[in-house]
Amino acid sequence: MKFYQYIIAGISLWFIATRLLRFLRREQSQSLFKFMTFLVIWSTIFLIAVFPRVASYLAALAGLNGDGGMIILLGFIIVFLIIFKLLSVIEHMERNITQIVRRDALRDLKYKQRT
Amino acid sequence: MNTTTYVVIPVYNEAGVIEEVIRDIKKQGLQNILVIDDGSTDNSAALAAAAGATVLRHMLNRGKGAAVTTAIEAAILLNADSIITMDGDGQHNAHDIPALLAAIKTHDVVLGVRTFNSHVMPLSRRIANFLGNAATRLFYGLWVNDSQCGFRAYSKKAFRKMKTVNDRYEYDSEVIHELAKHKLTYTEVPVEVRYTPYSLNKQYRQSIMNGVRMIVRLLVSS
Repeated sequence: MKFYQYIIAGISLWFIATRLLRFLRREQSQSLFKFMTFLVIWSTIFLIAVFPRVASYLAALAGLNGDGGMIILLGFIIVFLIIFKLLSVIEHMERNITQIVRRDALRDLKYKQRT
Repeated sequence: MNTTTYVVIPVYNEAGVIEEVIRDIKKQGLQNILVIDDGSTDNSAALAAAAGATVLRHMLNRGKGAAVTTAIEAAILLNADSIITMDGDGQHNAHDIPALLAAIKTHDVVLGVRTFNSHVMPLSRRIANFLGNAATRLFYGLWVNDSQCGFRAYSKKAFRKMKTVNDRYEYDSEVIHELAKHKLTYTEVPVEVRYTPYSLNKQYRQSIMNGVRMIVRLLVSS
């Protein structure tokens, strides 16, 4: 294994470990779906780093064998990650909006309770 | 010992029936009625207030789950001993309230179970309900007979412990998760469901597509 493979494998393991800890701690933002998605993606990156031939195998499995196959496969992964990140950001914003709306709805009631 | 029970009604554009719903509840001897107007564009809030309910208003539509969660926070502020949640479209019959009140004396949560009779409930809703039950079992590990019924009662212990995050209809399933998580005791009580032309015409009710949508949301937020 070359030096860069150790680096990528280390980063992958670090991401998997931190996500696993967050999931085990049952952090509210860490859903099963998010955890499984990250696990699949970073496990794949780890495998590709340690066994580079896995990338060619996966590309062939997806029907993307050929010169540009790997690039298309990587493109899919990157687009998926971006969409997933966007969904997470939207979900977070939705919850913040609900909090603001709720605070506003309860404001008069809280005022009456205080006076 | 006197206990204070609040009836919580999340409302979104229910001007056609909300007064009647409140009147029916009052006939059962309950005067503490909390209506959460979830950003209605009609005069539901004014009509509910005129009918004698305490009305809290969401300035934007945030969904049934968000409205019920707001009501629970209000119930904590009002020092309620128990709450009953029911839909604002008139599909739940206030005559079932005494059965829920009787059951909440001995349980933390009482879940209403609707009649899954082909003469009463349309096929699309029965399929949607089955999908909801299956998704609830899959993600939250507890099988209940009606995971999607909004006619429920909660004791003070239950509504103070529950911490939900889902804003839309998947809220009803998330409550089941909270039951299991906090080891709350529960029982199921049969309740009548009235599918009137009004309630059937409402958008965003239980349909097969909404059942699928709910599963996707549970996937993202479970």
